[in-house]
Amino acid sequence: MNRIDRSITLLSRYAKYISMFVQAVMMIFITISVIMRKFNHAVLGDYELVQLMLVVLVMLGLAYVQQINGHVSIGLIVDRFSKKTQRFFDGIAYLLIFFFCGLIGIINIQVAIDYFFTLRTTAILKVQLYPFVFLVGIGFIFWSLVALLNLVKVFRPTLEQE
Amino acid sequence: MPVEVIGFIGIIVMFVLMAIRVPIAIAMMVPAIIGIYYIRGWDAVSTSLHTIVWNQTSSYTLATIPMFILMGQLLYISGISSELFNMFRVWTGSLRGGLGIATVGASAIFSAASGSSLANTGTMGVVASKEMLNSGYDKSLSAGAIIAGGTLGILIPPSTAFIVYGLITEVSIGKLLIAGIIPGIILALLYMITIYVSVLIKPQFGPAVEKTSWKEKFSSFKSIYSIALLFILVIGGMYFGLFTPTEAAGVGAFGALVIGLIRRRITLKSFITALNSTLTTTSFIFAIVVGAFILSYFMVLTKIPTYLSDFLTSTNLSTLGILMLIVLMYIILGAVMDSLSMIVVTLPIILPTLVALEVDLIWFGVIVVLLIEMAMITPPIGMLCFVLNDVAPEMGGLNTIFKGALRFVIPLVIMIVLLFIFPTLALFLPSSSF
Amino acid sequence: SGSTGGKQEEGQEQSTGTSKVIELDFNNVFPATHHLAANVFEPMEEVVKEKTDGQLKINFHHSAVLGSVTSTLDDLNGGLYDMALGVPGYFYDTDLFKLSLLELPFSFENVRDIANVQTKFMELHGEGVWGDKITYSKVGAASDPFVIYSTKEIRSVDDMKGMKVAVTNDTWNLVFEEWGVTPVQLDLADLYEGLQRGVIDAALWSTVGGMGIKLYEPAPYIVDLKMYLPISGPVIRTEALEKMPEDLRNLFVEDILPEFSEMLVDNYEKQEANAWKELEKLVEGKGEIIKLSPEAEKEFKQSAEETWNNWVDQANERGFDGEQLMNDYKQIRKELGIELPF
Ligand code: NA
Ligand code: NA
Repeated sequence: MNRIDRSITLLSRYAKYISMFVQAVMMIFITISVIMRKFNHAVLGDYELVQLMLVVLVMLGLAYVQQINGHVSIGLIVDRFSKKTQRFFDGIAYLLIFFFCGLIGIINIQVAIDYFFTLRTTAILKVQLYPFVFLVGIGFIFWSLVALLNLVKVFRPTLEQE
Repeated sequence: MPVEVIGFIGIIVMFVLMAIRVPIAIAMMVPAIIGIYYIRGWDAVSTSLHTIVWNQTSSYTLATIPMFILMGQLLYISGISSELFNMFRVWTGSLRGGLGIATVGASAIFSAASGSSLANTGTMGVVASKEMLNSGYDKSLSAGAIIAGGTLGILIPPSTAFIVYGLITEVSIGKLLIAGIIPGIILALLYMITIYVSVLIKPQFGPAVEKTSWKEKFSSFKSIYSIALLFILVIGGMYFGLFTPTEAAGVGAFGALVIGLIRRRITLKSFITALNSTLTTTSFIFAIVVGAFILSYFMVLTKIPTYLSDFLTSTNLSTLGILMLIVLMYIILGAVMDSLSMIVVTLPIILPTLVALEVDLIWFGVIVVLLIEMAMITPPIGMLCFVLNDVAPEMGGLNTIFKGALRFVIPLVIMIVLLFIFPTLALFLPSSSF
Repeated sequence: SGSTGGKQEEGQEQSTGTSKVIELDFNNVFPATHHLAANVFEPMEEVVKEKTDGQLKINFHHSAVLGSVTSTLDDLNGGLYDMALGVPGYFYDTDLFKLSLLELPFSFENVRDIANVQTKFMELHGEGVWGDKITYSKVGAASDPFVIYSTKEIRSVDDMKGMKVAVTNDTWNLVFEEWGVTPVQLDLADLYEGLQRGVIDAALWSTVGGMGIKLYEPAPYIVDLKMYLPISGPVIRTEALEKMPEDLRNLFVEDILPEFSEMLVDNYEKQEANAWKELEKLVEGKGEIIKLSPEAEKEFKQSAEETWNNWVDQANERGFDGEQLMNDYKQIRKELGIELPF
């Protein structure tokens, strides 16, 4: 269990660093393409690249945010309950995240496989779409797995101290 | 079971899930996914979970969100946002509630560089929260001031909200952006008055801080050359056609980085911190956006929005009456929905009604942005409150933040009423500049 | 109501009195204020009601609330909605690439020609281009002409040298190269501001579409290129058709879909005439509707020749028989008496 825990945590951290890197690249890229255009060297398709960068940026951050419990929830009612009751409701939340994010993940992996064979690309630069759709799948599956880990900890609270 | 009933059950399930602390994004997705399965079957579920997620996370317009947030973070670590706050503080700090007034003022200036209320709140939140709490300000009033200031981000140009509205209605985005200026300034003043009045009623909420000398007051201007530089870059760059309002976010972030580097305030370590906090904010916002759009698709299937608009057009009310009903509908919807998806779902439906009534769509755009602002600060789904809670945990949690934000619904309503009485407040600048 | 508690995979059925009404959801990607809504979709609702004795109802949803235009193909295949206007241009990475042949620069000089050529071309090569889950109208359709909305006067190819021009796809890359123009891709939201502030100097855009977002304000020089582009007519999920009784299905394919296309063509013809008149008034004193001289027109058209030749290679690269498609296409044009642009 501990090994799985550690590897998922590690993976979502790597994903986070890639996402942060893409963020910096996006900022520099937009600036450079603005400057290039000013000097009549606009790269047709810079627009598409920003769109693809946004996909990577968002998807690789989802799991990390779950890990630090950063997805917004409203504690107005549950916060007042006993720790044990709170754990029960958190369990429900984790179970839902595990199931539905896992579902979204698997569906997108299937689409990625489909796109791999049908060679779907972006309109101008003809960038293959499947790796990016695959990332969407991976992003949600990581999110789902982190929630599963949280769920296990709900039932085995001792794990949290390890 | 009729689809409308399924829709209502879906909404109730969503609220129940939210109430038991399920993350909002998931609370929206769960009933929506089940509902889509029930109404249109498995294929529709598997397709929508791909295309909706893809369309939202690869939207060029939405790419401005992380860029504006990053810009805010970089301005924060280079100390620029605190200097901006400080400039207002030395002028108003000696008043009761002066720090709150300073927060709104600094936010209003900040809005002229940032197009996103989320970024506004995130940035000013970090700076102003510490100052106010250290000076013994009431937590909920402090939170409210920051959030009120944050809302100005989408009213004073640049603004992502006006861009989205312009896309749906095909109204000139340039004119919309200009239309926000005067109402933005008035609203900022109304917010300041609200703070002042709050403190008049409860003086212990916002004690006055030390008086500053005139020398200090005037020297405070010196420190704002950096932010002035960034304004010249962002506003000037847009004005002289170097880049578009959408690109301004990325260039603004880069400009903030360069200014921070020149001032030797940004290190590799603090840059990584900025990227990290931008990432967490961006990710939870997009999770909610995706959830909201899946919910929207489900809502359209249930025909509830259509019934709503049929109801509106079937009433025998005057134009004013219908408009007031629409505003009321948005206030109610805005309380429970994410603002972006609220606009995307409902605007197409009421648009024909507005056109038939010959409502000025630029004026209505300003009203819509004010309603979006209201939606962003009211519980249970108030994005600005979430963001502040994220960047300033010392505020004492969402309950306190929502409580503090709610009083600023009053100036928002006053502003809307003002616009109904004096439409020219919104229309004067756009009509004279072309 | 119609449901028995199980999932309804098709347009939801609703019982009214004794007969059941089949409802179809149509995703309109344009705003409710767009001319198609009032001139085509609303009348179409009536036509369908009349022709089917109220057995069929099309619900038009505006502003792409059911899905983005870029995901129409996936959305229809997955049944997010039942009908839409097919815009093949977003899916040239699929078999719909064949239709890009009809989109080559300067192919057509009026709406009717396109519709007719498209009808014939689809008879020959349309089979399966939309995939097996989508049924398309047998009659071709077309949109209003593309023009250059420009901030400066343009009277010849030379005048365009050094300009930055907004485009939506890469069909024009080679042409632009010859003109010495920098193609720029902008978000639709940024187009107006881009022209106004000089991020771009001109936009190659549809006449009526450009009017909708008021491009004539910042760019009052409107160059009539006599350049018409095809759009596909209405498409419907095959599964939605199969749920209909046979007589209704036949009526839909043989009568309703073609009439829908006809109405689109009619509307664009009317819109175009109005658009020119209206634009004339709107740019009066600020700009001009520029009609090219015969020499300039020839020069503009000539610049597209390489793009045409290049298409065959591109098609071959994608595994189609490029020569065959091009020959058939030219043959159709010949039969219909439509000359090549050069
Ligand atoms: Na702003
Ligand atoms: Na709200």
